[in-house]
Amino acid sequence: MKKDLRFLVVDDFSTMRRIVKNLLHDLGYANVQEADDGKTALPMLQAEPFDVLITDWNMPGMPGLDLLKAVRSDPKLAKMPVLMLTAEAKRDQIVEAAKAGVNGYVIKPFTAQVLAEKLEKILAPAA
Amino acid sequence: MSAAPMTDTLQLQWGEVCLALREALAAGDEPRFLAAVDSLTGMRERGLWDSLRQLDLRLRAALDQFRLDPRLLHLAGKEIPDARARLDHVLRLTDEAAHRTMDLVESSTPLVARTAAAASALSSECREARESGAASPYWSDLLRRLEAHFVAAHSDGEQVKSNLVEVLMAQSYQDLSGQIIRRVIELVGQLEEELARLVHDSHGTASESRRVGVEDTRRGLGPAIPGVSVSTVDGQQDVDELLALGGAMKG
Repeated sequence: MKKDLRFLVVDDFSTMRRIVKNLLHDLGYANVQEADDGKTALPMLQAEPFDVLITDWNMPGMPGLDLLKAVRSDPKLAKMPVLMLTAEAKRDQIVEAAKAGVNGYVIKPFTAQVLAEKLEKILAPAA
Repeated sequence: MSAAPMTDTLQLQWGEVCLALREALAAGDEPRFLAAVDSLTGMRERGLWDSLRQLDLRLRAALDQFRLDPRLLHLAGKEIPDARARLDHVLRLTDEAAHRTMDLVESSTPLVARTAAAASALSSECREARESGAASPYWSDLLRRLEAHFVAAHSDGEQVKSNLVEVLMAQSYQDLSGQIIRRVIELVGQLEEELARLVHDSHGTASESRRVGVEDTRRGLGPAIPGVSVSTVDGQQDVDELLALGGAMKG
């Protein structure tokens, strides 16, 4: 399997970044980098070849939805699988994220199992 | 008739001007008619102006009272900024606690993984040695018990590993509670701004608030907040020294 996939985890809370990073390690993905909002994430995505983006929604600076839209409108990044991992739980928001082209959406608080399932789902076409 | 007093009042208040209007109209005297209309509208507006004047007086009185209320000044100048600092501190504390927990989880996981893996390998070796038939009854019995022990150690280790993942996941409370606290901090900040503007507009000065800044230590002040609490101890050693000093003074 593609255990060498490169992940970028974007969340303004370092606790959450660390949790996700640990869970990815447990799943066998060792190549994980972090950013604390969309503004710092976007240049990283443009500068290095990442395979998967996992992002929070509510962040100071550039929120996750804007980051998702920026990724989708960049020809080089447009096809990247994006998983939203957020406490934003309004139906309209989930619809909005879907319209913007998100591949998966996990609501916080979440379990390790749910994250693993959603990841497997969004990575299936790439595998 | 009960309507009579009302009719009298109306007559008294409006009768004269109505008569003037009617007479001017009958006589076709435009200047006199218009003068009567002016006096009529003037009478109507007087009530409105009286009400406005009353309102203005009450507003001034309320503002004066507000300016004189030291509690409000203290709230705007000291307690609300303090509340924000306190919430900030809660955020920092929970963040530190969550990271400390994760430090321990991260350092424990490989230890228990190593122990579980070794137990698994040893249980297989024990089984093979026992099943080879070369061991005496004493050794065979010992190998059986050792194998059972290593099987249990392996399964316990796996359970601890999965518990550690749960401990890790539980730290996500820090993100969720943190997001909520940040919103409250924002709200408190807006409240502070509005209150400060109100205090400023009513010519209050922040210095007046200092008169009421005496802390009530009787009920306790809660945990020390850096940047908020003044004159707090610096660690347990500081406490011990102070206590010793207090004891010496008493003696």
